[in-house]
Formats: sequence, structure tokens, C-alpha cells
Amino acid sequence: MSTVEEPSSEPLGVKEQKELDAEVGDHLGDNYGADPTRYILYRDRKEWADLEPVPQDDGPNPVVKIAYSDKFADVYDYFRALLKKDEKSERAFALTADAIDLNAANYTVWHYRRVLLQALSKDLREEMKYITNIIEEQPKNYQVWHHRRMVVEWLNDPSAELQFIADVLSQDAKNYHAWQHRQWVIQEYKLWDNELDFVENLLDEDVRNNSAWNQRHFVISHTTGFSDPAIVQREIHLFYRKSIQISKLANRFLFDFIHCF
Amino acid sequence: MAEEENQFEEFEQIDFLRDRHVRFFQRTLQVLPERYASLETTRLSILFFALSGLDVLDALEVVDSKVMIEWIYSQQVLPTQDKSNLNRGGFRGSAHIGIPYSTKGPGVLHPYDSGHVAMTYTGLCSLLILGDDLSRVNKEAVLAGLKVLQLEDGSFYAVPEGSENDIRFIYCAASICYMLDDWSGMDIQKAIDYIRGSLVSESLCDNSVTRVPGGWTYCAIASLCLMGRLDEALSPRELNRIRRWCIMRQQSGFHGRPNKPVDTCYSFWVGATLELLDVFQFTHFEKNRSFILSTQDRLVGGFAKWPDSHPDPLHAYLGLCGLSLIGEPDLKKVHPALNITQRAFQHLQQLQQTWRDNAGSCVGQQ
Repeated sequence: MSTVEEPSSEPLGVKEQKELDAEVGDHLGDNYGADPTRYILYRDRKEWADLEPVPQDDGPNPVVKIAYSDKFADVYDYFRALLKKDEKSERAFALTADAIDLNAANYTVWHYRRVLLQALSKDLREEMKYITNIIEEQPKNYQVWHHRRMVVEWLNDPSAELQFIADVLSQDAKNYHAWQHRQWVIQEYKLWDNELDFVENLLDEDVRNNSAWNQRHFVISHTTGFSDPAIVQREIHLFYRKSIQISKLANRFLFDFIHCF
Repeated sequence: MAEEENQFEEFEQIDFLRDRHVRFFQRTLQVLPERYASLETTRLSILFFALSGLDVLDALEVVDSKVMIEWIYSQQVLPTQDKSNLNRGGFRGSAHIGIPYSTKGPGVLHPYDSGHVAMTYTGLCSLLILGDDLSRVNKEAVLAGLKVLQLEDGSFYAVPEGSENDIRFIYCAASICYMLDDWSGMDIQKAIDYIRGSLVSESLCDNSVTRVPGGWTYCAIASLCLMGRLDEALSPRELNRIRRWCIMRQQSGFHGRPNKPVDTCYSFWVGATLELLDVFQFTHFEKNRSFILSTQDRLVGGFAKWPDSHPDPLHAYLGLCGLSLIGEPDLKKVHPALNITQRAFQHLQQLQQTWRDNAGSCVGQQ
């Protein structure tokens, strides 16, 4: 265990979280300065001495209070200080990464990071690498997918998206965030061409993947539609090919899908 | 048949541990460990789960209502002297941005402060549950803040600086307008268009609901009910397809999408949808009850999404609501569209009557 944190008498849950933080910290390197085993609180860093930290003010009787460690509170006290000043600087940008590391669901941090990406003309390709890593760790977080969408829009470059989403889906083929993002990319950038093949491959892996059948419906609705008899016949054949893979025709979704015809 | 009878006996043996759940929510209201950090920006909604859960359990006497009400009002984004921040109105999830604690105006201008639509919704619900009369809610600011969140396609952002946009936030917006008895905060027709687009296929036939999972189906149907437009927005055939799709979500408990595992929260999301569509009575109550209770934590109280998993406030609350729908004894009834108890709903109705009476008598003063 790292010597980063001082021993304390907090409840077990908080202590466990600190140990986890320290373990994660050992792997993050850059976020913790030159020596990854020695974390320095922001309030002890000379280059931050000009900023007055802003503690969270929950009032005299806080409700549903979360018990933060010193390190967590320190990062966010300085985050709040930056927000108050609306500071646009490299140090602010670096701090947002620390804040995200502690709580990637804080939408204000993500918004502020986007403001800084623009104000400082940051390298958006680097940002794509960053958000790719975060999503791989936390694929069911709304904020990270929204952030990715914004960066893709700014770059106006969806070229990496379908493969990235396919990778995420290979971990969890029904991740609703991934599917939503995929539908957005396809619709926005008109990337319909290979999607039916992609879906068919997923159905080969798991014929019961409702999300994949749903995606098939989405593509056909927005491209050829269902009025052409050739399309209908193709889908019926697909249905029967897939349906012999399941012992009972119990997959309700297939019935719903095919009932269209 | 004998097997079925044994299973039924099993259902009978699972006790509903009321006192454990009361204590679970009491602890939720106090302090949570740091691993709950991801809930910081949504603490007001966690407060709602605990308060509404205690209300369903008929145990609100354990709560210091005055303290809670003050904390909720401290999350309201108050207009500044010159009202320049009016379109950022609503309630915050918590004070994470760093605004100093205050329950009275004028507000403090801050470049990043704004309400969050789901926090405004759960904040108003929480005030009603606590018996507050909403007199300190700045309706002008709340509705102005709401209006700027709606996109051209009818869906809503959660916050004015932008976020994901989807049907969950339409539901929050509709609930806010319903509670404040003022629909000027949203374009209803555009919202209905978006809901239809999500629910109903544009193919030749009016296909079933296949696009959105259970929770979002609830948001769609509940929104239409709150707007009073259910039968106008959806044809009888479309409604029947939705009924059928929802009923098919029951396995033991309910799941949210075909071929996904059942999850306690869908006993409410799908159950309440079926209740709103007048067909909940055709579901299997014992299997539903048995599943929900299999996720009950016998030690710390609360419910989890699955058996042998950790309980959390959302599943604890929605598990109770699911049980309430099937008529579990000693649980208060829940208003299926607004997701508060009927008791809290009646308080809202009384308030709204008072507002209308006052508006009538103050016409000359407007």
C-alpha cells in the first residue's frame, strides 16, 4: 500500500476508498507529479498559493452529506476556486483531470474542461485519447459519452467512432449509452453503409441481443424503409436463419420485429 | 402443481422488514461514505428517494422536516438583483459549485451556477412530501430556467450549458409544470412529437415499443398522462402495443428490455406504466413480490437491483413503490405518474386550489 495517505480513524468505507485511490494513483503517474508515490495536496503546492480554496458550504444542517477524504476535498476546494474566478489556464485544465479522476459524474467539471479546451485551443486529438480511456473504465456514465460527442462534433471527425463503439460493445453488447452514441454518429454523419453487416455479426454471437435487433430496425427505418418487398423478404429470411438458433421461438422481440411485415 | 404450491409458500415466508427500511433511509439522510462521490451533483434526488421512501413507509415522523426544507431551499438558484440569471433558475443537486449557503434572495451571480432539471423535479416533490407550501419557490425563475432547456426536437437538456438530451428530462419538465400548475415552461406539442418519435416506429405498421427501455417508457407515458394528452398522442392500437410490450417485461419481477435480467426498479418503472395504462391488475403479483423481496437486504435494509447485491437508495425506494403498487399492507399508495404518495399528491391538489382561488381574487392586482 502506498504511503500517500496518512492513517486516520475514518469509518471503514472511507479508508477502503483511500486504499483504492492510492492503488489507482500508483498507475496514473502524471496526475500525481514527478514522483508518483508522493502526492502533494493543492493547498501545499507553491504554484497554487495565489488562489483561495472555496470549501463546499452545505449550511448548518447538511443532508445526505458525503464524507470526503482530505485529498478529495482539497481538489474540489481548488476546483471551486477556479470556477469562481472563471480562470482559463493550463493549471486549471490539469486540475480538471484530477477532479474527474475522483468523480467522473460531476457534469460541471466536464463543462469547465470543455470551456478550457476551447479557450486554450487544446489538442482535440489528445482529448479523444483521454476520453477513450475514461469511457473504457466507466462505460455507463452519461457525462463521459456526452463529452466524447462534443469532441467528435468539434473535430467534425467520426472516423474512429464505429470501431470504438464496437470495442465497447464487445465488453457489453447491450450498453445503452454505446448504442445511443452509435445511432447519433450514424445519423449525423450518414454512416449507414456497413451497419446491417455489423448487426448481423452481433446476432451471430447472440441472437437474443435485443439492442442489435433494435439497431437493425433503426437502420432500415432511416434508409430503405419497409415498403420494398425485396427488403421484407430479406428480413424474413434473416429471421428464419436466426430463429433456428434458438430451441423455442420464445424470443418475443423477433416476433415483434417480424410482425412488422 | 405441487412445485408451484411450494413456491407460493416460499413467497409467503419472505418478510417485509419495515423497520430495517426506515433505518436504511435514516442513514441515507445522514452521511454516506466517499465511494458515493458520484452522487454529489444529484444529492437532492437521493434526498427525494429517502423522503418519499419514508413517506411510503408512513414513517416521516423520523425526519426533521424544518431542517430538510431549509436545505432544499438553499439549493434554489435565486435571481440576482437585476434578474440577469433568470434563465438559469431551478434547483441544484447540491452546493458543489461553491455558492455560499443561503435560503433568501437576492442570488449571487456565478459564471457556472444553474439549476438541474431532475433536481428541480425532485426538489419540488421533496418539499411537497414535507408539507411545504412552495411559497418560497421562485416560479418565474424555475419556469424561465426550464424553457431554455428544451431543444427544437422537443427533448430537454438537464442544464443550460448543455448535456445529453432525452426523454427523462421531458418527464422532469412535465412534472415541474404539472406541480407548479403552469405549462408556460415547455412547448407541449414539441415534447409530444419527441415522445411519439421515441415510442412508435415510423415504419408502415405502427410497430410496438422496441426502441426505449422500461424506465424511458415510463417517462414517456407518465409525461403524456401529466400533460393530459395520452389518448390524443397515441392511438388505441399503439397503446395496446405498449401495454403488451410492458406486460411481456414481467419474468418474475420485471426487466427493462427483452433478454435482460430482471431488476427491482422495473417493478415500479414498468408496473407504474401498466397502472397508468389500466392493465397492471393483469400482472402476476406474487411473482413480482417474491422477486422484489429477494433483493431485500435483511441486515441493513433497503433493496438492491438483484438478489445478493448491495442495496442503494434508488432501488430501496423503487422497490417499495413496486410493493405499494401490488398493495403490500401498511405501505402508502403511490401516484403512478408523479411518483409521490397519494397523500403528498393531495397536499399538492389543495395547494393548487388555493393558488387558483387567490388568482381569482387577485385579478385586478396583476
